[in-house]
Amino acid sequence: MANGVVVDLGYDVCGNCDARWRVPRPRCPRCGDAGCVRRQAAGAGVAAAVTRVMRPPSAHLAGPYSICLVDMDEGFRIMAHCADDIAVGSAVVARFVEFAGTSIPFFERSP
Amino acid sequence: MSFLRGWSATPYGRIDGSNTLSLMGEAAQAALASAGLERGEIDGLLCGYSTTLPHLMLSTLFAEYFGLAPSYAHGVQVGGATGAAMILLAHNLIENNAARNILLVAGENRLTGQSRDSSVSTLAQVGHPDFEVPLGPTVPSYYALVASQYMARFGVTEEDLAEFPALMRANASRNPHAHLRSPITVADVLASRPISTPLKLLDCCPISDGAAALVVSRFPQEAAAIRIRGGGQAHLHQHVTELRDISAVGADLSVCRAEAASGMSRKNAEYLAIYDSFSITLLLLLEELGFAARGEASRLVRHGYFSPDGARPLNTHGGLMSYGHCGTAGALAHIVEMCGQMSGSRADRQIRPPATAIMHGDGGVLSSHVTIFFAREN
Repeated sequence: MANGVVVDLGYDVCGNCDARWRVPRPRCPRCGDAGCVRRQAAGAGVAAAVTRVMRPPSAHLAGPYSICLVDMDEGFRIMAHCADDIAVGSAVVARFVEFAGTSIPFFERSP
Repeated sequence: MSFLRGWSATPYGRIDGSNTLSLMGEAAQAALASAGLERGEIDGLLCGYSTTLPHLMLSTLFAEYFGLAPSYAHGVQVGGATGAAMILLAHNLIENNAARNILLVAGENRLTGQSRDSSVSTLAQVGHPDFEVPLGPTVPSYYALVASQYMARFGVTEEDLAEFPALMRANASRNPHAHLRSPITVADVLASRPISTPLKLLDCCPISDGAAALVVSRFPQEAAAIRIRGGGQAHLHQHVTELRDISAVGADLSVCRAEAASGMSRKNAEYLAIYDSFSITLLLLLEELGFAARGEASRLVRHGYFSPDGARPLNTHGGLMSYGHCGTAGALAHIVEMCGQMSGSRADRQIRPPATAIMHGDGGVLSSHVTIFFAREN
């Protein structure tokens, strides 16, 4: 998990049909076009799902921590950490924190 | 035409001294006996994978161990849907005359073969290595994120979810071969240790040792002709981050294809064998498959609709949640139970023998779906 690994706000945009997606693919999953561009989201979105991890996958990770899925304003979904008061539907904004040696997005309620 | 001619599952739970091959061998031997066949009559072999024996050629290895020389053999791999996919493949092979008697076998000592921490951490790696795993989720976390979305969308509560582990445990309490047998109440489920909210320990299936085997054949047992009528699949995503529509994860698409292939309708299914890795898995699948309106499955459980003596008996052996989950053989135990019930051969727990049945398997995080229809024809 360490060694400079970073989880950012990156997403792909299809130059042909404007589809947006998180997990990199060589071609657009909707139209198959090869001309996609990787961008960084600005940080704002709406929480789509939240869970508080009480039993981490290994003893090396100190729980508990909250994991969320956020629908970003740019039109794609991201998995990240979040504050304890986030609920489905919360308007949220990201900053970055360190978790197990990795820089990851952490969402909080929008002011 | 293809038939389920033989079936057997070991007890699931803690089986000290067991290993993948010994468990698979035990189930296979009993399935052959159930089918009334000798090794020399088996010309096809399909195997699931094992996390405690991650061999690149497990079917060939098993053939050597067990004493088979198949003319068609290889492994199958699609997560939790592997068992269902093996059955659908065997059906297609028989229908195409590629084999006459196919042995399907899977199992592993997933509980005693590695530490629990090792199992949890291995299984957690199924997430995306760059965009999910670094955040520290577990498999229960992925399903918890599904539950979070489903509960918000359809008004389902934690109490609603808890009805399913309680029903599965009630079924398992009548089954001496089940891993977990002490009856539990909805209150017990709600009070159990939180794993990844809203899922608690009793919302999750256990990790078990065990194995199961089936014989799929051109010819049925004399006593009961249980026919595999046809099936379908759907694969819309792998990672939970890419699951786009919580109201259409792929289950409905899969069952529609199965209806088209089999000429049967889910409305007439008299027995349900539905994947139940977590409470949310079972609730969501029952609703997307159309066995309950959205948000209504739990109410049906409370009214006994899915109980052994109800209108649509479900996982009467206790399911993954209480019979146990040993990996790719998890769902095969559902079919062993289904066959016992359909043939009227269960010495205990016999219900009114169903004439038709549906199986639905799910792999990944509701990522891969396989649906199959069965019918008794004599």
